[in-house]
Amino acid sequence: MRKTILTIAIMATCLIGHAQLDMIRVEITEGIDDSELKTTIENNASAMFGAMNRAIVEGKNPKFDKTIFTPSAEKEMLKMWKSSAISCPVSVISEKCLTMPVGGYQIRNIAVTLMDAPVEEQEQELVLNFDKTGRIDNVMLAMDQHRYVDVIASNISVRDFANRQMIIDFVENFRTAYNRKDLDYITKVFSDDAIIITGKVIKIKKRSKESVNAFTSEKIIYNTQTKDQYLAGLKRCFKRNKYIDVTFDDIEVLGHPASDKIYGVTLKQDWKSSGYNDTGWIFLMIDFTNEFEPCIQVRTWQPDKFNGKPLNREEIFSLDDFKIKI
Amino acid sequence: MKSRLSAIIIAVLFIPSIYAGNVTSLFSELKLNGVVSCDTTLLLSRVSKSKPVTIEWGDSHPSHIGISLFSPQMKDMINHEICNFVERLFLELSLFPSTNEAMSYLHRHKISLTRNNETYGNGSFTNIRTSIEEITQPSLFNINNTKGTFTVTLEYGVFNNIRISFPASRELIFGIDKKESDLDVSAKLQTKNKHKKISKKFSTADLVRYKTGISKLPGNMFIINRLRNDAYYLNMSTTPVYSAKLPHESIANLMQGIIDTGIRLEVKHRMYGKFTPDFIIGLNDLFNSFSEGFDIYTGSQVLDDGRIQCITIFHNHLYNYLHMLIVTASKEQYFNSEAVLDADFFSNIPQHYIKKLF
Repeated sequence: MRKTILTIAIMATCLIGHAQLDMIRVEITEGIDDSELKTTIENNASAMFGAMNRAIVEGKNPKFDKTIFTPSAEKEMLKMWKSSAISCPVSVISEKCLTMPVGGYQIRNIAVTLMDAPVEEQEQELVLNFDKTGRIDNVMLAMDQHRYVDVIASNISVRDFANRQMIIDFVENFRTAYNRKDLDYITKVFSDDAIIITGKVIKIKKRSKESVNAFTSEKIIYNTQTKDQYLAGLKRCFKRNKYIDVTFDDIEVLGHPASDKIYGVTLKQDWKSSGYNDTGWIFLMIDFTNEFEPCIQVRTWQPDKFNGKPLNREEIFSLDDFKIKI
Repeated sequence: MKSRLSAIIIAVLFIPSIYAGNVTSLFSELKLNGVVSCDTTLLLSRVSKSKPVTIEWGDSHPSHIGISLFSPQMKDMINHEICNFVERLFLELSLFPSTNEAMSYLHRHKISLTRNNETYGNGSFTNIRTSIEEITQPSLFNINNTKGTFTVTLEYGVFNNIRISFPASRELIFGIDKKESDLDVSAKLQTKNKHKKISKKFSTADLVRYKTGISKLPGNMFIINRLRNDAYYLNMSTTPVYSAKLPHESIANLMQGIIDTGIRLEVKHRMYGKFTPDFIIGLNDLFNSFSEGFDIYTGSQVLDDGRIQCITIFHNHLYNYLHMLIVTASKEQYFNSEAVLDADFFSNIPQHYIKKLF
C-alpha cells in the first residue's frame, strides 16, 4: 500500500513538473521600451522553450511554430537538437534584453540542460538573438564551438571524425591546386556533371518616381557553367595571371541529413592574383562515396558583400539548395 | 644539408615588382635558380643596403630565404622556424612595389605589424626597407603563443620595437605549401629509424585504478571524446597492457607507440595531387618520426566486417596541423608481432581555419 501511494505521489509530482515545464514564461526585466516588441520577444522565446520541453517529455523532436524563428535560426536549433536534446529546467526566466550594435536584440544567461552531454557538462547557458521584429534569429550556447563539440562529442564516431578530416585535407589540396595553377588536379576533382555557379555583382541605376535623381543599387546575377566551361575559363585565368594566392577561412563542414556520403563545405575565399582580387563565399558539395576519391558535385561562389553589407548567411548556398539522388 | 658557404656576394639582380609568395617562388623571383645551391648569404642592394639575404638549402631545394636578422645559433636558441618566418616576411614585404600591396598581403594573412606601437602603413611607419635598415643587433627577441596566435617582439636600439602577430598556420610560418610539406613528410618517413618504442614519462603516482589489475594514465581528448591519449598499465606499474584478452586497452597502447612490437604497416601515403606512394614501415618507426612536437591521440571502432579500424592523430599544437593514420586490421593482427597491417596516411591537414567541423 505504501509503495502504491509512493508511486502515485511520484507520478503526480512528475505530471505537475511536466505541466509546469510545458509552460515556460520568459519575462524581459529591462532593456526594451517598445511594449509590443517586448511581448513578441517574450512570447517567441516562451514558445520555443515550451516546445523543447514538450519534445523531451514526449520523446520526440520539437515542433516549433514557424513564425517564432527566422528560417536559419530554426535550422540552427534543429541541428543543435540533433547533437543533444535541450531542456529548460525553470518555469520562469527573468532576464534583461540587450540591444545589439548591428541591429536586433539578445537575451543571455538562460539556464538549459544538454540531455545527451556527460553529467558534469549538462548544465549550460543559452543565448538567444532576435531580429528587429522579435523573431528568434540565432540560438547558441554561451561557450565557443570547440567547447560545444567537446561537450556533445560523445556521440561522434572516430570514423565520422576521420571523414571530416579527409574533407579538410581535400579542401586544402583543392586550394593548393589553384595556387599552383594545377589544372590537371582541378580537372580530376570535379565530377564530370558538376554544377558550377558563379555570382556576379552588377550595379543598376534606378530612378524613383518621387525623385529625378537616379540612385545605384546592386544586384547579383548567377551564371551556371559546366565543368568544361569552368575549366576553360580557369585555364585562361591561369595563363593571364603571373601568380595566384588563394586563402581560405571560416571553413564549416556539414553532413547531409539524408546521406552520410555527401558533405557540404562552406568557406570564405580570398582570391588575390596579379590581375584581379576578390573575397567571396564558396560552397562545395562533396561526394564521398569513394572516401579516398572524393569529388565535387557543386561549386558556388558568391560575393561576401552586397549593397555595401555582408551577404546574409541565409543567402549563401548550402546543401538544402541542391537535390541529390540517393 | 650542404656546408654553409659564408661568401657575401654583392649583387644587383633584377627584382620584379610583384610579390612572390613561398620559399620556392621567392627564390625564383629573385632569379637565384642555378645561382645558389647551398647555404649562402647574399647582399642584394635592391632589397637592403646593409642586411644580406640568407638562404638555407634543403636536400634539393631552398628550405629558407629571408633578410638575415639572426645568427644560426640564435635561431636554434629561440625557435628556428619562427626566426625564419620573420626573416622571410621582411623579405616579402620589401619586395612589394607599394605599401598598399604590402598592407593587403598582411591583411589577407591576418598578420599585424607594428613599429613602436604604430601599425604598418600609418604615421611614420610606411617604409619597410628603412625600418629593416634600422634594426641593429643585438636585439631582444620574445615569442608568445596564445590561442593559436604568435606574437613576436623584436627590440633594438634604445627604445625601438617591432611587433608581429600572426596565426599559427603551418603554411604561413614554414613558407612551403601542401605539396612540398607532403613530400617532406614522405622523405622523413622513408629514412631509416631506430625501431624504438615511445616511453611516456610519468610517475606511478599519476596512475588511477581502472579495472581489476589495470591502471590508467589519464590523458586528454582531441576534439571528440573517443580520440584520446589515455594509456593503460598492469596493476600500478609502468608495464603497459598488451594482451588479446584486453583488446581495447592494448590497441590504445599499441597505437600510441608505447608497445615494443615488430608489427609493420603497409602505408598508402595520400599526398597532394592524388599521388599515393606505398611503403612499408615499422609501426614504432612511424611513431618515432612524430615523437617530438606532436601529441598523439587514438580511437578505434569495430567495422561491419568485424575488423578493427584505428584512427591515430599526430597533432602539432604549436603550428596547428595534424597527420592522420588509419589502420584497418583483424583483432588477431594487432597482436601478431610479424603482421603487416594496411594503413592510409594523410599528412599536413591544417586546423587553423576550421570554424565548424561538426
